[in-house]
Amino acid sequence: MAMPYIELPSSDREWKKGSAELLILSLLEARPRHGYEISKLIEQRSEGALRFYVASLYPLLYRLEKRGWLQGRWVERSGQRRRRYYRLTRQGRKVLASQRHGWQVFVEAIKRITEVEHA
Amino acid sequence: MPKWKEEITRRLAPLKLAPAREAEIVEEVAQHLEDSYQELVVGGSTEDEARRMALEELRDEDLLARGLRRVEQDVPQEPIVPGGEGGNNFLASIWQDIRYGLRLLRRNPGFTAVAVITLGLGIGANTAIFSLIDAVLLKTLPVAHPEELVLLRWESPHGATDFFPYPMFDQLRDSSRVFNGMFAFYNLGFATAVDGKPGMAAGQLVSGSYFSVLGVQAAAGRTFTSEEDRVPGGDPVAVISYRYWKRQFGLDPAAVGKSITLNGLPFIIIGVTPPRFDGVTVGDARDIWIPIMMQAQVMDGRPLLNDPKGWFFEIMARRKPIVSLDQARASLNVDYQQIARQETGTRITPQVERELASQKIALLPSSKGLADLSERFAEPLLILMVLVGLVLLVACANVASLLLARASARQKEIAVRAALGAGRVRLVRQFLTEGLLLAAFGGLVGLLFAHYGDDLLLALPLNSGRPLIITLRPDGTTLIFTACVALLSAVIFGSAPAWKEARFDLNATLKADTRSAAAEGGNQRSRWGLRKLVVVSEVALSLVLLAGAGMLVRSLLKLRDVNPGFNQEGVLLVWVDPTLVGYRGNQLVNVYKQVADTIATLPGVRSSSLSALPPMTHRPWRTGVFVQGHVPGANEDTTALWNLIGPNFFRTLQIPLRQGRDFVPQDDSTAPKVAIINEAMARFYFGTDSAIGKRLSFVSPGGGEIEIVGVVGDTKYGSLREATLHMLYLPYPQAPAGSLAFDMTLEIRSAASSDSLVGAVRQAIRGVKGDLPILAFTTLAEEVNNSLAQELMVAELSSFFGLLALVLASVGLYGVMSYTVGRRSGEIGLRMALGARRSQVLWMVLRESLELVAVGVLLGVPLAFAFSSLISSELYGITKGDPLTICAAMALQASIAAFASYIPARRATKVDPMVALRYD
Repeated sequence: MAMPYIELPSSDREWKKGSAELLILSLLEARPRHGYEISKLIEQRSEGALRFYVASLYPLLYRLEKRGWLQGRWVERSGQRRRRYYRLTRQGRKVLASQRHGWQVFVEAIKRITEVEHA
Repeated sequence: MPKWKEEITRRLAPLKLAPAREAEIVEEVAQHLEDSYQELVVGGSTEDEARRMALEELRDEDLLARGLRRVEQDVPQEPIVPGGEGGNNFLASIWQDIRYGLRLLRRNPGFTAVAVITLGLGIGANTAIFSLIDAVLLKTLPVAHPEELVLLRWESPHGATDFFPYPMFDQLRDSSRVFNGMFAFYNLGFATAVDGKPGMAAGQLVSGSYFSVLGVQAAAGRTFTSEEDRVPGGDPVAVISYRYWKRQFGLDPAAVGKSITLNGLPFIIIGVTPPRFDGVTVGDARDIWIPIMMQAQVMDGRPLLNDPKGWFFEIMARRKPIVSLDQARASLNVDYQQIARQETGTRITPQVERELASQKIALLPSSKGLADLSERFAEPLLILMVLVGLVLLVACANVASLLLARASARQKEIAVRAALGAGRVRLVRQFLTEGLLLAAFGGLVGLLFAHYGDDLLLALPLNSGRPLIITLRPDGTTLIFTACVALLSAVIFGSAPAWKEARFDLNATLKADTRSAAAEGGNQRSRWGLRKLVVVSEVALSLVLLAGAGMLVRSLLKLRDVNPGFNQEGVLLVWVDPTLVGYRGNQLVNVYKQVADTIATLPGVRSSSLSALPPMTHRPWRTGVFVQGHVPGANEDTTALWNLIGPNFFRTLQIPLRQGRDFVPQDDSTAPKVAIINEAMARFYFGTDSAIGKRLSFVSPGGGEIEIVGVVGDTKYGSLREATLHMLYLPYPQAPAGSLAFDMTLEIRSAASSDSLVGAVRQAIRGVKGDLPILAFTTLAEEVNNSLAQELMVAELSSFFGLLALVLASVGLYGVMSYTVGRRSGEIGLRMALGARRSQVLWMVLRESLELVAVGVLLGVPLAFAFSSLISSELYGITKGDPLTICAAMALQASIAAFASYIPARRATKVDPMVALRYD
């Protein structure tokens, strides 16, 4: 059953901020994507649980670009208007690996604490 | 399609992002909203619903801006200019501009060389003249607090003098409360001997507090103290100048303590003054100072220090800092009145009371030393400053014209830079930077030119033939002046092309070919207008300079034609000074007579005589005169110039004798005192009555001890410009007390050339007395010429600058006309293809250039008139705005301009119509 989309309350802003970078970096691991594609993927793969609006997505993309984790490039394909595609840089890949590992450790720890004890 | 970009731009406006960056963000975000909209429409939403939902992506009105603000604040706002490293701060971008400018200048060596040399000439001329002005007019004495120094001047309605009797100085010094010291001084030439080697030196007798009041510390040894001011003849010590120490002793420290003979007496050198100190008169450097108490010993044995009527000594004082000039003057005059009344003695009649009350002592601020040089040169130097300022303007106009021409060739480059994001401010700044670089190099070249220019200036006979001892060295003031002039030049010539470039039409330039009509219409016409304006102003300025130079040259020629009242040709002048080797009193008179008699017997000598002051050689002596039976008016000038002469003076100089007789050998010290006056004086005092037999006195109104025995024609004495003054001649054996302590000059009129006569004269003098010092040989014609040194300097320099400006303006005109021909070659080709003759084409081009010259000349004429008002004090025999001179300057200007235009005009006639049309 698809969960209705939930806008995360502002008290979870920090949580969202910390994970948002990981989300974007991981979505670009496979191949370069443009902003609209990234936002749609996040919505689809989270089954509506997470949604990035333009007002938050693009500032984040520019910030990551400024840090050198992403590289943006205008690409013009025949028959289409030009779009800006983002891809991971080498530094971005290192950061992704590090953040991914960190999240996994964190999630495992939470899981261990909150799991129902079996007899 | 919804207008996403407008919506997004509105929300981003508060961020004030750089245009390129904003455009990028707007495009990207608009694309996102469009994708969202399309998806919603495809999914079944209406267009309005889809639009509304897509806009919800933007959330709050300012959410996007807030999010971007945090990110974009650190992003550089200034667009990146090609060739740079990013320009992410102001200093880096300035450095970028400088490097770019230097690269451009290197790539155009011809243009750079012409521009830098042109500027160098203009800036160099300004610096050279300014350094002369600085040394002569502006520099203060190298002493402590020069603004406290004052010179005393005695004034009365009948005349004024800077010279005082020593006893008066003594009393003033003792009773003054408002000064931190007062000193007296007296200039004297010394015959020197160091280790037996004879020489000459410029000396000064000074009272003991001279150096301490001035605040001059010795560079070696010590200076005088009040001890050396007590006993007449008691302290044969000397202080020498640094310049003399270098010249005579090679800066040998052993010079201090050495013995030096001055006018036959041994002195011990006790100290050396600091390097920059040359005395208290700018341009009249002194070599040796001795205590004033040694006066009688070095001067003929005559004790001037005791003479209450011997007005020989100049006085300076240092005002106390808390006392104002007015207060000091008031206090001093109270003291003076007491002293003067004491001097007058017994009964003071109402008339004497009135006389005394009308006398006073003025205090002249003397921070720059005695004003002799500055008084004489202030006006001509300031005129020269204006002249070189005009030359600089012409040079700047020339460089501006060059820059405008070059800017045309750089249009594409500028357009591309603007398209890539360089703002107008940045473009203008680049042009100004290039201008500043040119000006900086021009300034350096100018300093070099100024260095050589100063050497040339000092070589001119500025000081009426006497050497001008001033130091022209590029010091802080001169360097700052040069830098300011260079900066001003950069602003003048750099801003016009910079401003024009900042207003050009980007699209027209990028689309158009350089020579096509579209480009012409957009940018070329306005720039061409500016170049024409520049050339017209050059023509106007050079006309002003030419006309000014013409007037000054004509004044000089007219002065040369002035009849001085004597015949200057064929007269040799020989300076001798027996007092330097100990001749005194009657011995002195006798030796002069012997010399004069011997000279008269030389073959070829038509006539010879002696005088203390030959005409045009010195500042004339002036004395108060009381003519018996004449009651002076309240403000009447009762002074006259006077001279000591021997027999045959008037015959030798061919000054006509109008009444009475010349002096004869019998007019000696035992005979009744006699005098000869000039016509002007005779007319003034006696009208149409004969002056012969009338009496006059130097001493008192009723004295009448001197009888007038002759009247001679009027002569010029100090300068050819002067109005005729009263002139009084006395026979030198009857010289008033103290006045025969000077050298005398032999005047020798002969048929032989001066050069051949010199040897014979030298031998004859040696034959009379082997040890007689012969100071100099010159001719009267040379001295008259030297008296015009100042006018000659101004005329020569103004002619040089006038011609320089003419050359610069002609080069500018040539450049503009060459450019015109190049630009219009298509049109010319077309005309010739349609049958125009070469002469018609020639005239077409010449006419355009002559129109420019005509406008320039029309503008220049009223300016030339105004300029002639400025220099009117230097003119002689020429009216302000002299039409003849202005017309001559116009004719010269026009003919040179025609020549400068002819070459490009001829080039126009050589245009091959087929080639010209092909490129259109």
